[in-house]
Order: sequence, then structure tokens, then C-alpha cells
Amino acid sequence: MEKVLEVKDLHVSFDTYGGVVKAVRGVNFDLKKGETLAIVGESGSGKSVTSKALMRLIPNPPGRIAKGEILFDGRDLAKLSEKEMQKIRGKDIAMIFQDPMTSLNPTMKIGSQIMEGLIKHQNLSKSTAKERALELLRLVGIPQPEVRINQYPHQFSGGMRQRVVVAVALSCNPKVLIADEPTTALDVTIQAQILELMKDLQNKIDTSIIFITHDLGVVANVADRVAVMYGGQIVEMGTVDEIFYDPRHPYTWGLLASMPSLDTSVQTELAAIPGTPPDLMNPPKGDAFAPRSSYALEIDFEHEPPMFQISDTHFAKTWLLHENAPAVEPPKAVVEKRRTMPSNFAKPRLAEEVVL
Amino acid sequence: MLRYTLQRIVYMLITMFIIATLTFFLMKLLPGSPLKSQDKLTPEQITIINEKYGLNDPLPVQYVHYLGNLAKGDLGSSFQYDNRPVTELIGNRIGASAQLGFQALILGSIVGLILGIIAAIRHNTIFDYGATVLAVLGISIPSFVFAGFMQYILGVKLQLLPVALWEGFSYTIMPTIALSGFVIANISRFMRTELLEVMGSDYIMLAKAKGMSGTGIIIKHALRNALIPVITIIGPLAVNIMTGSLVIEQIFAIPGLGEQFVKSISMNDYTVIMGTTIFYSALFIFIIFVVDILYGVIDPRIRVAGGKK
Amino acid sequence: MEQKQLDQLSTDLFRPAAGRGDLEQIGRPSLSYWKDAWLRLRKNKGAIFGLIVVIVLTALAIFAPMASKNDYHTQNLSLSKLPPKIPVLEKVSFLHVDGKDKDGFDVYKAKNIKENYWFGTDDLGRDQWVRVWQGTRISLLIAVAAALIDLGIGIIYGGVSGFYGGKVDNIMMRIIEILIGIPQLILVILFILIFKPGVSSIILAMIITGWTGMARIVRGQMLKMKEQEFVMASKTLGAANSRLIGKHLIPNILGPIIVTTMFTVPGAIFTEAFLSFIGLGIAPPQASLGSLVNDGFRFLQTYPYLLIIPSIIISLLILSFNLLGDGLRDALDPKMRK
Ligand SMILES: Nc1ncnc2c1ncn2[C@@H]1O[C@H](COP(=O)(O)OP(=O)(O)OP(=O)(O)O)[C@@H](O)[C@H]1O
Ligand code: SF4
Ligand SMILES: [Mg+2]
Repeated sequence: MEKVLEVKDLHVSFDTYGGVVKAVRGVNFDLKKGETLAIVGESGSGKSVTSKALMRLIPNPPGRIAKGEILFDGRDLAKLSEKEMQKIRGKDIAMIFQDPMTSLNPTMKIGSQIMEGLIKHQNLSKSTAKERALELLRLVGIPQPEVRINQYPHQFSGGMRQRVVVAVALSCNPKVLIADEPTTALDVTIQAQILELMKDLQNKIDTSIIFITHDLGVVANVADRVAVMYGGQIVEMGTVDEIFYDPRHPYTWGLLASMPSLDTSVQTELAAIPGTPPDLMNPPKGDAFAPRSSYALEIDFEHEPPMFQISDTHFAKTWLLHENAPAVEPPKAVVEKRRTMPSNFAKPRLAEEVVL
Repeated sequence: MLRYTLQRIVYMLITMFIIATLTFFLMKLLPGSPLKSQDKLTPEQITIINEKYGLNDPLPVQYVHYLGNLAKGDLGSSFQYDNRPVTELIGNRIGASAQLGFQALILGSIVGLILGIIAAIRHNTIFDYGATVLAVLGISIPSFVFAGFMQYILGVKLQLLPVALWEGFSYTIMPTIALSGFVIANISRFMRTELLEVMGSDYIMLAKAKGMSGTGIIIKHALRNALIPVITIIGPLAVNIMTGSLVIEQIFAIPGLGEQFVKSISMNDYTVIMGTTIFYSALFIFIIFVVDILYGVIDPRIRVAGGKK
Repeated sequence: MEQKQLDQLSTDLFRPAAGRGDLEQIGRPSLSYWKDAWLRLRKNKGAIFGLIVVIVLTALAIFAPMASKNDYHTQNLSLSKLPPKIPVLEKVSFLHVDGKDKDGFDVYKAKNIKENYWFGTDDLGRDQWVRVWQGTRISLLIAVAAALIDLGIGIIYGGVSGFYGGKVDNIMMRIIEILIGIPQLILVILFILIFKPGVSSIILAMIITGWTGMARIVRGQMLKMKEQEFVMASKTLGAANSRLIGKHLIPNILGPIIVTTMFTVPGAIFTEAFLSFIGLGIAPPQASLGSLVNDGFRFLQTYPYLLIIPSIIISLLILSFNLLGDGLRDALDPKMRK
């Protein structure tokens, strides 16, 4: 399938008074046309920073893209000027934020907020833009759009506002939609509606979605592939089946073990894994997860593990996949659900060049 | 919005009533009859005043009478200025004070807003630090000190501007600047904080994500939202200017209301003190009221029914 | 590194490293609240400047009048209007503290005066150095007294209001709302007109409306604390309670109180000065910074030092309290603590 977006060795750092916070440390992934990639991981693992970096929305100062490429449409977004980037934002890549209560301008009418992007990117006249805005409101399921278009955000409920944000994001038929925890702030039934809406619209306009969430239940429902982030890196990535039924990384095991059931749609927040996230100012030597991992090996405190490949689509960054590593038993919950994946290689391979 | 306005009006009337009552009884507490010390008055005048204002009646009667007069806009007559009505005295003096006050408020708001916006947009640069230092100085240095230094340097030493009096625009410059210092400092500080907060908000991030340009975002999204809360401090600042003008009019010998008020205090001209006090209070309260309403008009969350503050 | 090198990794390295991970991670060393606040305050240059200036000016206000052989009220017309003369600094020409008047005429020599009057003398021949520090003392006394009494009333009123809550709270807060609606200036003026200017009447006048701000803050903190109490009671028992109170509640309530008091003081210094200007300030021969500045204006053209010196002191004092207040607010805000 055609790749719309390709991220190579992305590093994002924040220069703070205390020192340089290396929030994202070498992230690689790609996004195919029409697919949904979920990014999961605990708080502070760098999910939002990664997604904002794709849009070049990292506040600078203090933040900066320290290294890496973001290839989109044959261009490296990391190197575009702000002016060129403005032409891409909202048009080719759009974004939905977590909190609908705060993501709309309280003193601007809903209509104007939707029309803004249309007027800018599609050169529509005010009246055509308004027509299109009405159409969008109808599309995202807002009743009485003719009335609603002239109202202010405070006159909308949270779920309605998030629909408006979805309408804003989809107004220019973007190729990529980044949704940063779009349903976390909503209650369960509204969540389901918004997810349904997004899936629906994805089918209609064939957008690729990067879906950031804490909720593994949602992941199982909406995603095609999953990337697990830890300490500013992707530690495991694979198709939904691979991640849920054949996880290889101890951190992923921890996440899954805390989840009651895979095919449930009830909200299943990631349970806490003991210990604290790594200090991103001074990342530990070796693997960042080692201090919290009960599977840690001696080598984990010395060398960072390379990325191993279990199948064409399944990657995991752990020494446990090295041939010299002892066989370990994952948590019971994971073992019970484990299935053999037919497409797996006979033996994990090294996925990349590594530097020790 | 209507409910909001009515509620404000009721509050305003209650406060006004309390002030009037307080002023009345406090004045009555003053030792001796105010007329005794006024040896300028002839016995006939005293009789006339006593009768007109019923100063011989029992206190409650006087009080009701006083409230009635107040409602009609009668603030009594001065004992010192040839028995002239206090309203007339106020009318004669209000022009200079109003001009000075408006000039200071406008200058202060404009300069304050500009400084605040620059400081926020150029956050953590030399501009920002400069504006911050200016704001701390503006808040800390009393207007009379500022006035004194200007008079000494610009008036006495360099002779660029007239030291005092009120005879043309050039005479208004120093007092206006002296009064606006505090306003500039407060508005710039407040604007900076508000704008920084707004610029960090989710909806600005969403506007950026829509592909809006930096200046477009500041003008269309950020400024309006940052300005709304700034309006709330305009009321107190206007009151501060009026208070400050009591002193500044003295220093620059400006024939305004404040100067007359201070003079009436030193001459124990109780009706003028009382009348001016009531007038000032009414003005203060009215300004706060107007600003509140303005706030409601500008903020759709209040203007449009169903909104919560 | 190629695959080959990876294979060369010693198999020893692949032994489980049980117990090496610090699952019981060492958190950030928990400094005490006050120590932490002090560390943060110390980094704030403005606040430290403010703190030092406040201490120096207060010390001068207390000790300078005592240490001088002159007092603030004895008049000596033969010594009137002497310009300032400070021994070493007289060499620094732009400071104009060489005992010469504005025409460059050495008054000290002409009158054959041996003593140095550091800040000069006023029109009645009083030692301005002593008067300025005496004035600072009065200004500080009024301001600190007003701030402390505000604090006392505010804590009681706000505490009662917040503690009882409900109807009591409602009524008490309505009263405050109405009081706040009355312009402070009006009340102060009326009050002093009746009770005649003096240190105590000025203090009282400022308190009449001044306490409301503190009362509101205390009430707010009180309400917050009540919420936390439930959490506390259910989560911790016995000894841990006292630790929680010391670690969370006291800082939460004390922080805003200290900061508010810090900002009340400069406000009160200003109000006192303001009263001097409208003829309701301290009566002579007593002096405050405000009355000195006010008197100074009479000699703006002829003896500017009588205006300039007290002006600088009062500005410096207000500035320092404001800087210190700003710094304390930033340092004591528990929300900022990571
Ligand atoms: N402006 C900033 N300055 C300094 N550090 C920052 C800044 N923004 C983010 N970070 C750091 O980057 C790291 C990753 O943050 P990020 O917001 O991406 O986490 P996240 O995975 O989205 O978490 P959550 O699930 O809570 O949203 C955090 O450790 C955070 O401290
Ligand atoms: S590399 Fe080592 S520490 Fe990291 S996850 Fe794998 S086993 Fe655990
Ligand atoms: Mg996030």
C-alpha cells in the first residue's frame, strides 16, 4: 500500500532551565493510505510531542526537532519554512485535540471557526465557505446547522464541540488526521459516537489516521496497526493482532496484562506499571525500561537494545529477542491469549543497523 | 444579558444608598454644628440655611429630607463659596478633571496594551524584560513622586514644559503622564499575562493546526480573548485615576474637582465635602457598572443567554 | 555495528539481572516546603534586592533617629535650609551632596557650620536625615500595623465564614461584597475627618475596608482545606495526620496569607502618603514619608533635595515590598512545585 507519511529517526528536544529534555529519541514509523495507526504508551512517553512534531507545532523555544525526517508527499516537513508549513496544516494534515471544552475559541462563532480553514486553503468565498460549513456540520451530525452555525462554543455540549472540532479537521479533506486522545475527555456513550463518526468519515474520504490514546479497548476497535511508545521511543510496533496476541516487549506485556479483556469496548485505562517514567533529561544507560522491568538482563544496563523484527510488520526493541537471551515466561494474562502468528519469521531478525 | 444588567443596577443602587447613609450619619457625628465655625455667614443666612435644610429637625426627618434632596440631585450649598449650590461648584470644576482623567486613561490604556502585547509576543526577550521592569516601576513609584521628578527635570531644569497651571494642551502633558504611569504598568502587566495564557491555549493550537498564520492568529484569535479580561481592570484603574487626580491637581495647581475637594477639606466646608464625596462615589460606582456591562457585551459567554460566567 | 558484532556479545550479559532495577525508585529528595521555597526565592534577583532594601531601610528607620544627636522636631532657624553634605560622597559631583546650594554657594562655609547634615535641613532648621528616617519609621509603623490588623480580622472573619459555610458564609460574604463596592478612598476620608488625623486614626481608616481581601483569601483556603480533610481522615490516621497538616495544609494557607500581607504593606504606605497630600495626613511636627514629600513640593524650585530624598526613599520602599511580594508569590505557590 502507498505510504503517505514516513518518519525517520525523529528526535525532539526541549531546552529548559534544568537541561535538555529529550522527549522523543529516534522514532521511526510510516503511515499507509487509509489506515489507522494507534500510538499508545503511558503519560509522558512522548505521544503528543511526536504528533505535534509532525505538524511542526512544537513551541519553539523551548522545543525543537533536533534530528530526523518527516517525509510527506515527497517533501521533508522537518525542513520546510513556517510559511510552507502553514499551507500544509489543516489542508493535508489536520489535528484533533483531547479537550473539546478548550479547543474552540470561546469568542468566535462556530461557523467562522470552520470557515476559516476553508477560506484559507480552498480560496472559497465567504458564502460558499458557509455552504460548505453547513454541509460539514450536517455531516458530523449536528442538528439544525443553520442555527448552530451562528452560535458560540459555550452553547454546545462537550460531545457536540468535539463534533465541531472533527468538522474543522475534516473541512479540507486532509490526507492525514492526527487525533490526540480525541475521546478521553468525553463520557463513554459520546466516545463511542465520536469514534463511530471518525471511522465513518475515514471511509468516505479515505484519510489516514494517527490515533493517540490511553485506552486499549479503543485501540482494538479502531486501529489497524499499533505503536507502543516508552520513554520517547517506539518499543514495539505491529498489527493489532500481533500486538494483542503475540506481544514481545515486556512493556507491552505490562500494558496488556492490566487489561481485562481484549474485545471489550468498555473503557480500559492502562493500569500503572510500577516505577516512574525515565528521566528524559538524563536517559539511563542501556534500555530505558530496564530499571522497571522484572525481565531485565545484565546487558540492559549496559547497551540499548536494537530493533528486532518478528514479521514483516512486527517490530520490538528488546534484548529478549536476541538469540542468546534466556527464554522467559510473559505474564499469565498474556500467555493465555497468545496465538501463533502465521506470518512470523522463523527467528527474530535484526531490523536495523545498531550502534552500541 | 438583561438579567445580568438588572442585577448590576440593583447592586449599584444598594451601594449608593449605603454610601449616602454613611456619609450623612458620619457628617452628623462631627463635633458641633458645621455652621458654628462659619463666621462669614450672617445670622440671616444661618436661619435660611437652617430652615432650607431643616437642620433643627430631628435626625430621622433630616435624613429622609436629605435622601429626598439627593434623589432630586440637590447636594446642598457651600458655606464657604457664597452659599452656592454644590452641584454648581462641581459643574464648574469637572471639566478640567474630566479632560485630565480621560487623557490619562486613554494614554495609559494604549501604551499599556502595546507594551503588554510586545512583551507577550517577544516573550523572554529583552523587550519582555524591559516591559516587566517598567511595569514594576510603574506600579511602585507613586504618581506624586513621578510628578515631582517631571516637574523638577522637565519643568524647572530643562524648562521644556510649564511647571504648573492649566492654560493649554502643553499644561496637560505632565499631569497626564504622571497619572497614566500606574495605568500603563497595570495594563501592560495584565495584558502580557493574559496574552501569554491565551497563546498557550488549546484553541490557539487548533488555529495553528488549521494553518492560520502567526499574525492572523494573534489578531483574529488571541487579542480579542486576551482583551476581554483586561476590560475588567479598566474600571478600578479609572477609579485610581480619579483618586490620583486629587493629588496631581494639587501638585500642578489644576482648577479641577480634586483641587476643590482638598481645599474644602482644609476649610471644613462640610456640605462641599459631603456633596463631592457622594458625587465621587456615584461616579466610581457608575464607572465600575459601565465596565461590567461592557464586559458583558463583549464576552459572548455572558451576552448570549445560557452562558455561564 | 553489524550483526556479527552483536553475536559477539558475551553470553554473560544475557543473565537475568534480578534486583538490579530500582523498582522502589528513589524519588526526588523531598525538601521541606519552606526550604524549597527559600531556594526558589534565593534565585529571584528582584526579590532578594527587595528583601535587602527592606531590611536596610527598616534598620535605618529604627536606629538612625536614635543614633543621631539631633531629633526630628527641634527647630533652629539659624540652621534652616542647609543643603545636604555627606563627607566622602561630596567628591562625587553629580550627587550634589557637597553642602553647596543650587548656585554653587557653600552655605556651610558661609555660616561656619562644622556639623555635616547628610540630607540637609528643612525650612525650620530641623535635621532632615533624622526627619526622613523618623518619617520612614512612622510610614512603616502605619503600614505594618494596618497589614497585621487586616490579617487578624481577615483570618477570624474568613475563618469563621469558611468554617461554618452555608448560610453564615453566605451572609458574611454578601456583607463583604457590599463593603468592597464602597470606594475605599471615600471611607478613609470620612473617617479621618471625624476622628482627626493621627497615627491611630489613619491605621483604623485603612483597616475599615482593608481586611476584606484577606478575609476572602482565608475563606477560600478554609473551604479547600475542608475538602481535603475528608480525604485525609479516610486515608491516614494518627501520626501521619500531623505530618500532612504540616506538609500540605499550613503551606497552602500560609503561602497566600504571607503574599497578601506583603502586598498590603506597600499599598498602605501609599495610602498614608496620599492622605498627607489631601491634608489628612500626620500632623506636624511629626513626619511621615508622605508628609515629607508633600512639604518638599513647596521647595521644588529652590531646595529640591527636600523633595527628592524622601521621594526616592518612599519609591524604593514600595518597590522593594512589591518585588519581595512578587518573589514570595512565585516561591510559595505550591502548584509550581513539581
Ligand atoms: N514545552 C515543554 N517543555 C519541556 N518539556 C516538555 C514540553 N512539552 C513536553 N515536554 C516533555 O516531553 C515529554 C513527553 O510529553 P508528551 O506530552 O508527548 O507525553 P504524552 O505521551 O502525550 O503524555 P500524555 O499521555 O499525558 O498526553 C514529557 O516528559 C514532557 O515533560
Ligand atoms: S531490552 Fe531488556 S530491559 Fe528493555 S525491555 Fe527488553 S528485557 Fe526489558
Ligand atoms: Mg499527550
